[in-house]
Amino acid sequence: MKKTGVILALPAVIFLIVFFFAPFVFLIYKSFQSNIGILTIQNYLKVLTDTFYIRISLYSLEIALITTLLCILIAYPASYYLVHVVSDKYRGLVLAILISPFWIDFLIRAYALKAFFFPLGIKEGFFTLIYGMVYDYFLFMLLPLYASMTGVSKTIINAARIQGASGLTLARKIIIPLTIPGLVAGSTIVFMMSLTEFVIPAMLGGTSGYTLGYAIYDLFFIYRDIYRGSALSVIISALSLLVAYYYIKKTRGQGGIFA
Amino acid sequence: MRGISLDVMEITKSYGKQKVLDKVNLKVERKEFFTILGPSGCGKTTLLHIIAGLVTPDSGKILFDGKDVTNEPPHKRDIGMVFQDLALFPHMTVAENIAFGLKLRNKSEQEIKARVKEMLELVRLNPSEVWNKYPAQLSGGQQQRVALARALAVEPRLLLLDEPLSHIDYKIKQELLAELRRIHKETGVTTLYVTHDQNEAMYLSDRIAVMNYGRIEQIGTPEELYNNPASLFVASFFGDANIVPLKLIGNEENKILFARLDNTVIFKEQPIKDGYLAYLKGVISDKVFMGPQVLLEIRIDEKHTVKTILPRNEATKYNIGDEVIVAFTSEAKIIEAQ
Repeated sequence: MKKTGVILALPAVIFLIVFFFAPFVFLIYKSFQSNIGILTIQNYLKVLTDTFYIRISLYSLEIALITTLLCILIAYPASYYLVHVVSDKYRGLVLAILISPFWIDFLIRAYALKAFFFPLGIKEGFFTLIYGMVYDYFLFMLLPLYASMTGVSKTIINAARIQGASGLTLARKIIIPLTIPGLVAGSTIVFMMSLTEFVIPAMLGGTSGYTLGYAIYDLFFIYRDIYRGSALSVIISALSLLVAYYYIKKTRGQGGIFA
Repeated sequence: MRGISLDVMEITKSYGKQKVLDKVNLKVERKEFFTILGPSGCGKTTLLHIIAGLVTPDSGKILFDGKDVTNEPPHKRDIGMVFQDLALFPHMTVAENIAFGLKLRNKSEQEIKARVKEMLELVRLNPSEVWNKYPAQLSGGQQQRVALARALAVEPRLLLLDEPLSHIDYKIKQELLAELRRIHKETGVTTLYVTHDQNEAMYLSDRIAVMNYGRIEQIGTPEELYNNPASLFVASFFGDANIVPLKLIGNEENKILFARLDNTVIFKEQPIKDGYLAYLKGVISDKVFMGPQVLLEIRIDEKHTVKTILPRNEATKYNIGDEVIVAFTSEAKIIEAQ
């Protein structure tokens, strides 16, 4: 029985190894190579000591954090509204309307935003960058939160209200602690994706658009320095893994950080 | 405990085209145990939710001690409620659950601890044993005890119970019914209980309102409802009864004879003694042993059967297939057919 399971899982495992892990291992390998093929940690030292990359990293971190926070602020009331306010009859429709922009390719969505800001006279910069990021990643926060929110029964909310809780107290003591799994999942996805986002900053960021994703793109395709580009990519991947690990660990179990 | 009086005045509520509550009026006295009894879908839970402030009525008023609270949100009504589904906060321990409302009322740490302990003792749970447990670690009966402790901890002006025992096993249910009766006597809190179970209602209540299709059919003490049901619905819903169309006996067309099982008697031969309401011929079609009593079912014709109960030793005289004569004592009633 156990053997059959291994055999059945094998194609998927091989697929993942070949198409997912292998490129990443290759990336790590390249990050430890010099341009004449000698193994070295020079690439890492260069990236980590260069104030330019440190500054860019901090800036990208800031953008990722702001994006994640704004997504939380919008997705929380939205998921509450979807689960506990909208009637069963219209829930599917409202959800479909919220999801509908995501049926369109994200590049085209970015162009649509460009076309939306231009006639309004809004200059591309930090604001449009954040707007674009939140617009793009909102759904990744909404869906896990929505799933968690469906687990919070109306009766539990009613019980808390009758006990004397309302508004923010109700959110802080009951709703947020009970939706921590969705919050962690959504935040991790949004944070990790927005940390290295390249297209939105490039298209909507204007002069504020030079982020990590952009820097990595430049290293690979403008400077043709795949070694340093790989090193930077590995550092960022390790960093976001670390953040995700810390966040999940910190909020695991009953109540989590908000209890 | 501060028990208040409750007035429900002309409460009406519709969902879409369906009228769930139709001009409901009732008054619950201070410290009374009042039950709303009715089949599922009769509107009793909606009425309770309106009293709690969870649902807004289309029209009508709710008064607490004579003061209009119709537009007060639930968190300002100062009431306690126990729900049918287990509505304990799953992310809090038993103690935290019970302390929830007390913390919101800014009580001191010491006061809260003492009160939680007192409440756990009231519902007969061992404080040191359950204090740090999570709801998922408790049995269904224990969870309902905690829910009751939580509802009572804030010294509510009114305690609302929404079918709290309908998901509980029979034996535990009997235990909890006794506890509810005792706790009501000890605390004296005005209590409104909603159920579809006539036995629960009869066991617990000072007075009962029987509801059907969003209307109140009758309000009275359990005895009043049992002896003098105002309608056929009340008669058949509240307690077992035989309902026999009078045309079977030959007279009036539109009237119905209604008799409790203990007002229904059977004989082997036509009795000489008079004073019975009617005589019907029938055949015993079923015999059910029920402990101290035996339930007999007598078939009158194709469509009609009546039931009676006999003490165990007397029932030995009758067997399935025996021809008998059924009669009704003078407590049986003749009512208009609806």
